[in-house]
Amino acid sequence: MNNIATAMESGFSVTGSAVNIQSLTQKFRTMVVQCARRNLFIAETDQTPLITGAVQRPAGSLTVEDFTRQMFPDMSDQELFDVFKADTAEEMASGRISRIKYHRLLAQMTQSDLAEKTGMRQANIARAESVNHTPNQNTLRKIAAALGVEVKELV
Amino acid sequence: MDTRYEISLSAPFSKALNRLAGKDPDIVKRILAQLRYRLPLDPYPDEQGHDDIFHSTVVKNLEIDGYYVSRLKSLLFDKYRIFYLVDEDYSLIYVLEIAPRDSTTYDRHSPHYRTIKTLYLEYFQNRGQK
Repeated sequence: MNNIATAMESGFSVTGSAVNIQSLTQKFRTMVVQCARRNLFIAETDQTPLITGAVQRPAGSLTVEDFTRQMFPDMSDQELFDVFKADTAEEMASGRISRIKYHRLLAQMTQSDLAEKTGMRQANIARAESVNHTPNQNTLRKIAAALGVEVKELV
Repeated sequence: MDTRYEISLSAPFSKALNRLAGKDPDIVKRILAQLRYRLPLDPYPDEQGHDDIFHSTVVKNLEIDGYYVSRLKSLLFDKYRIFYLVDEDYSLIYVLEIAPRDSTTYDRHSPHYRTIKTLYLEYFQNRGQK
């Protein structure tokens, strides 16, 4: 938030969901775009509606769980997860995702979850599961323990 | 951040999946599996280096117009692109549209662009009133 405040002091404007970022430095532009991609308000808080309560589901929308039940009433959650598992295995086999990521997804953990369990930073988890990176043995041991798999399954 | 996102499907997206299920139910199952079990874990694939979202012409064009959406692209269903917005305040991912990859993909006046923009605006207008 300090960076956002600094950027605002540097003089860019926010109008609705449109942000004039052309005049910003690359550093601030990246930050503003990252905020915008998350649809985070970057105006002062007194101009931002106070948000409370549960999820505000848009009218006419369905949760993915409800839609799945309507579309495939005979399919269990486990069967859908098996589809996910098979597709994720296919992605791993083709080299599009790493073995670490494969096991993290099967464990249904976010990078943050895994970071917390291993005591590592999320950025290091992201690097560890990059397809172009080979983590060191210590990192592999921590991740393997957190995911409940053998180290050899991650390399 | 250990946020768990709820995945909400727009009415146009649901209708499109219904139509697609009549032709290819297996693809629909694969899409639903990704939406349900992967997207809540990795809602921003661009920042994790696993997707070429920064090279998505559609996402860039929408961004220029002030619509900040993300794209789910998978080689598991590579004939389609799925567009969604992430609302961090409500931990909600709203899936807006599925667009076939064809001659209209990069046409900024195509129905898919219009649908995405309309749903995006509706979402934030209604959300702001709550």
